[in-house]
Formats: sequence, structure tokens, C-alpha cells
Amino acid sequence: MKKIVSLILCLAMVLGTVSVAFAEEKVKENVIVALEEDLTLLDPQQSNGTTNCMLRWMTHSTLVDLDLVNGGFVADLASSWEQTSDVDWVFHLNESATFQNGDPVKASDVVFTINRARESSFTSDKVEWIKEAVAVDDHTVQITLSESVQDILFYLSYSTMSILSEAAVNADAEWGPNVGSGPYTLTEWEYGDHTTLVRNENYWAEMPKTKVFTFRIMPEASTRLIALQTGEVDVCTDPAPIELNHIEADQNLTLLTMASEKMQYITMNVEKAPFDNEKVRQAVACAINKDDIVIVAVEGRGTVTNTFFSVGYGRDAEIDLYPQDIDRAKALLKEAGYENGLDITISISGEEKKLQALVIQEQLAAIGINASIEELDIATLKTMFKESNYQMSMYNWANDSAGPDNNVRPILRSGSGSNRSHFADPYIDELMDKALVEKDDATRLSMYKEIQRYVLEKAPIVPMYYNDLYVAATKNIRNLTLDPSFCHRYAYSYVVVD
Amino acid sequence: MYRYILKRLLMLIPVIIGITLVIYFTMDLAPGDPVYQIVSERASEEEIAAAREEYHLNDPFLVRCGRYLLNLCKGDLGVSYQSKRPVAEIYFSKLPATLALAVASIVIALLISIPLGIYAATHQNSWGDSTSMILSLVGVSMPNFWLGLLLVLAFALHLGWLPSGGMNGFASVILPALTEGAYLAGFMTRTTRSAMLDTIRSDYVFMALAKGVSKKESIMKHAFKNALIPIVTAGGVQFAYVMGGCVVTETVFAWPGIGRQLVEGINQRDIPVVLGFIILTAIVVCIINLMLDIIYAFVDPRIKAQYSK
Repeated sequence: MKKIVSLILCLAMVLGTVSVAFAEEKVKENVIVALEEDLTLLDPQQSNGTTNCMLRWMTHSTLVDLDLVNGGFVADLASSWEQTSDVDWVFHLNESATFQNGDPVKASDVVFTINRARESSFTSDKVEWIKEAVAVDDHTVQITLSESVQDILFYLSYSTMSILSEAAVNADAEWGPNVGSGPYTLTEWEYGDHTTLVRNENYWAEMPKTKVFTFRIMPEASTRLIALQTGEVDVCTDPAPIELNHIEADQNLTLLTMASEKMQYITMNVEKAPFDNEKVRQAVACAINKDDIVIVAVEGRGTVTNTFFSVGYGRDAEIDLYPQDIDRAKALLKEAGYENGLDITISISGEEKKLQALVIQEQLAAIGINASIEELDIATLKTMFKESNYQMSMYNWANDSAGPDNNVRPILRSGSGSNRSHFADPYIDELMDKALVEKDDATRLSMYKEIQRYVLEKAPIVPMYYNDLYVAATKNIRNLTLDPSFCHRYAYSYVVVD
Repeated sequence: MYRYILKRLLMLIPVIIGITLVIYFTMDLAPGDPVYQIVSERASEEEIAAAREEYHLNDPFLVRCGRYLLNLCKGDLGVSYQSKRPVAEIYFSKLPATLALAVASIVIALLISIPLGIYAATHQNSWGDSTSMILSLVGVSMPNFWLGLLLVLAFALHLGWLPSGGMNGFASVILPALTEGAYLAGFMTRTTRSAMLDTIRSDYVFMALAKGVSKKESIMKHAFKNALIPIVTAGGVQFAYVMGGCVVTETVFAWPGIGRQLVEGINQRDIPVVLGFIILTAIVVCIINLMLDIIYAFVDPRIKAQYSK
């Protein structure tokens, strides 16, 4: 009898242990995320704001996706792909993939998306190199490039290149682009208040654990953090740098962080005096102490950079052409004919830029440059950039994980819309074109190094630092993948209920 | 009375035309080309030119302004450059939040200011009077963002009684309404005190007291009723002010009201949003003023008699 009782007890213990081991975590049904800015537009091809991009990762799919953990690319709508010649790529679509309206994702939808992307200023640069996209059959797409562009997968993995349903867009031009093939469906958009995404129960790939995501718009950083501390929200994006120590000390919260791709830099208008003089630009580069700027502007939460290439392929981490050297800066100013100093205006918009400008103003004063700071709203500053009507400014650029070419082409190519310094050099234009199509890895890397060396020597821009990126969340958050371009991946994140 | 109301409503037409011209002209003079908010920063010259054409940004000022007024007559306030949504739809989606905040804050202000103002006036130069005046001064002087954050820290974070932000039920309006109401209460307490001081020294109040009417009755029935005109005026003006949007309070409490959206529109050079919001707010303010005039008639029979002429 004793043996039987012992056996039963042992069995009960084993079963208990097994059941605990296999018990599923209890997951919060509605995860609430506090964001600073709202979604502005539903159409993926008509906007590239951070919030738009973040939500699009949940509602839409691209052909391929960046592997944010291991690097390289992972399958999304395309289950496989191959490069059949220098300029030809074939993508095989996942046959089980469907849009949220139940329609299967077909090759014709991919062709439609690519052709539609040509019409929008937000996406035309992503398909610029695509000569033709053809639906070989329902689930095979052939893309022919005009040249052997090496970064094509980066461009196709961009969130603005989310695959749209041709039928949905043709049926309703306004709401149709919102029909994607992602794991969540947008069900509610109260502009300026909240956006609700509900799990697509017919999702064709791995089903996420969280049923509903609510993105609440809370512009004030302190309010976002307090809402997290009171449990009203589960995630607080972009907490104020001054609050980070408090978050780290709070046992109920967790602070997720990584170095972002957002580069803060000084831009000098090469078309306007005195910065049309290379020596003056170099003098500015020599006068700057980037560590001080990081401490003041972001409480030390940034990584100093001497180049404009983000961490990854092609970056020359060793380059340092202008360590702070006041004597050299003064000598360069003298060579430029400004021995007695000069007056300049720094035009800026936003709090972080203002703090940067205050430090730079002080540092430039040490070499005889008297800088006055002009604070503007963003619309005015953007117009001044476009019309080449400024002297010096501070701005930022995020590579958005779109490949090495994206570090240089948008901000330094002649005539590019984001080329705020109006730098124009045929040598650099030619070199970036060559690097984009260069198949030999070593040659390509040396080309990108040369681009960095040459541009930094000419100093139309002075890279300062990459912002560190922060997300505060409840300690029970799981699987939240941070994105260095701030478009974090929430789809598979969930909150465990205690 | 009806003729008066009709006359006031008709007067809205020149007011709206005037506002449209002034705002259109101001926005036109402001630096910052709206086309760069419409297209991507990387847009080519051709894409920029096409956007200018599509949004009629190349047309002369008078043509654009005339077209806007014509569409306005048809009830079309245009489409936001940013969200591509109709401006009227955006405005009316924000109006309930702003209205709720305005009503709640004015109720709080009235509940605080009228008893306090009457007490201060009837106890002039006493400790109570001085205290109420100091309190009203504090209410008027405290910056909204500071008071708002203090209230959030106290009632949301430490006590956990109220939500810290957002618009979600009755409880969520209390803290923003207190923040906004503190200023209004301070202002209206002073107005009430001042109006009451004028009336309690009037001959008709002395007469009432001489006839044996109690002090309480003489204050409430005779003095306060006659002091109501400046109080109603002050309350109405403040209500109209809140209806125009309280940017700071809305930002601190993530309140989805008109003010935040309007400022966002100004920053982004979203001209249809700015124009539409200002015009609709002007209409709301005119209607509030009209309602005030009607309330005057009920408060003071002499004014009602004037309307009837």
C-alpha cells in the first residue's frame, strides 16, 4: 500500500512539474504603447514618418525584411529569392500569404506596388533602379534592374515598399493602401489620440501573442513616463534623457537601449559665404569638441562619430581627420582670409539642436567666429535648406538600414533633396555610382572609404554623434525588437501578466 | 429679440471673410514653403512642381484666397496637406474633447470663484479677503505646464486616483479641467469681488437693508444679481478662450483637442488646417458671444427691453 501511495505521489509531482513547465504564460490582451507623434497617413507610399513606419511593420509585409538581430535579410512575403544575372532577380512568393481582406498575395500585387511607387516622391528613389517588374506566374516575380545595383534588397525591405493589394487600392484609393498582409489590422484611428491594431486571426505566418495594440499619442515626455509608472501604458517611447536614471532605478520598469542610426551633424552651406571657402569649413571641423556636445545635448547618451557612415558595411571606423585643434583651426581661418574673425548665423529648429548650437557657439568663439543662433520652426528651416538660404545648421540623418549607398547618396549627391549643404562634386557623384554597382567586395569597400575620406576632407558636413535610442517599458515586456531607425518592431512583443 | 439674433448671425459673414483674408495673408507672408511639407524631402524638381500644380500653390494670392472663400460657401474647408483628411472632419473629431474641457474648466472656475469672490467682497480687508486674493493671484500666475505636471504627480502617480492623460471617461477630464480652471477661477474671483464691491455699496442695497431685508438676501437677491453682468462677460470670454484650444494643457495631458492640432498645423504649414480651424473657432466664439448677449437679457430686464426696440 505504501508503495502505491508513494508511486501516486511521485507521479503527481512529475505531472505537476511537467504541467508547470508547459503552462503557457498568461499574456496581456491589450498592450498600450505611448508615442510622441501620431500616424499621419495610411498610405505606405505617401509618407515615411517614424510612427507610420512602425505601424506599417505590423499591418503590412515587404518582399524581404532586414534581420535586425543577425544582420542580412530574412524572408517575408518572398519565401525565397535568387539573383539570376547581374541585373535579374526572381522572388518566389509564399503561396499561403493573404491580405487582411482574405485575398491571396499575388505576383501582380508586387508589380502593382512597384509601379505605383514610381509615382510618389516618398518611394520613387527606392524603385529608381528597377527597369521592369514582371509577374511570371501568380507567385513568381521577376525584377530587372537597369544596372547591377548591390543594394536592391535593402530598398525592397524598406517599409514604404510594403506590398499593397491592387484590388483594394483600385476599389478604394483612400482606405485601400491600408489593406496589408501583416499580422495586425488597423481598426481605429482617432487622429491625435490613439490608433488601434487588432490581430489578424487569419494571418498566414506565425501568429503573434498579443491580441490588440493601442498606440496612444502623448506628446509630452514626462506624461508618457508617468503613464508608464502608473500602469496606464505598457511602453513609453523616447523618454527624456534626464529621466533615464530614474527609469533604470525603478524595479517595475525596464529600459531598452541601443545605438541608433540617427546621425547628428553640422551642415554648412557651400554655396554661401563664408562656407563656400573650404578652409573655413575645415576650421569649424577643427574647433569642435564632440564629446562636450554629446554631454550637453543628450546628457552623454550618444556615440561620437567622425564619419557619416552608420555602423555596418563600408564604415571607416578609424578615420579622424579633424581632432579638436584650436591652433590648427585658427591657422585655417587665417589662410581663408578671416584672421580677424567673422560673424555667422546658425539656423536651427528643435530643443536638441538648440543645445548643440549653444555648445558650438561657445567653441567657435574660441577661434574668433562669432555665431548668432536663429531658432526657426521646421517648415521655415526646410525651406531655407531647399532655397540654399542659410549659412550653418544642425540637422540629423538616419540611414534607415537601407544599405551603404544610403549613407551618402541622399545627403551628398549633387542636387539631392536631402543634400542640405548643397555639396556638389562630380568625383563623389561618380564614385558613389560606381560603388553602388561594384560586385567585388574589397573594391567596393575601398570606394566607400575613399568617399568618406574625400568628403570629410572637404567638410561640407561635420558628423557629431549617433543618438542612443531608448524605450522604457514594464518589466514584463517580452520580445520587443528595437530598430536602430526608431521604427521598433512590436508585432511579436507581449506583456506577461503576473 | 429674434431680429437681433438674426442680425448677429448675419454679421458672421463679414467676420468670416475678414478672418479668412487676414489669416490667408498672414500664412502667405510667413516663411516656409508648404510644398516641402507635402512632398518628400528627396522629391525631384519635377515632383515638387507637380505638387505645386496639384495644390494650386502657384496661383496668385487673390486667386487662391478667392477659391478658398468660394469653397467655404459650399461648406468645403479643404483637405489637410499632411493627413489628406477633410479639415472639417478633423475639426469636428477634436471639438468634443475641447468642449468637454471648456465646460468642465468653466464649471470648476464658477464653483470656486463665485463663493470666494462674494466672500471676499463682503469681508473686504479681512484675512479671508486677503487669502482669497492671494489664492486668485496664485491661480492666475501659475504656469499651466507646471501646475499640470504637479497635479499628475500627486493624483496620478502618488495617489493613483486619476489617470495621467488621454481622454477616457469622466475621470480623465478632472486634472486637465483643474489645470485650466485654476487660471479661470483666479481671474473670475477677482472679477466677482470687484463687481460685488460696486453693487453692495449701491443705494438699492442700503434701501433693501433699511427695509429689513436680511444681509444674506440683500447680497444674493439684490447685489449679486446686479453684479452678474461683468461676471457673465468674464466667464463667457474665458469660455471662448478655452474653446480656441489650450495648447499647453492639451499637451501635458495628451488631451486630443483643437489647440494642439492647430499648433501642429502652423508648424507644418498645413494651411487648410490652420485656416479651417481658425474659421470654425471664430464661428464658435461668435456663437458663444451671441449666447452671452442672450443671457444678458435674462439677467437684466433693461437689456432685454433694448433688444426689443
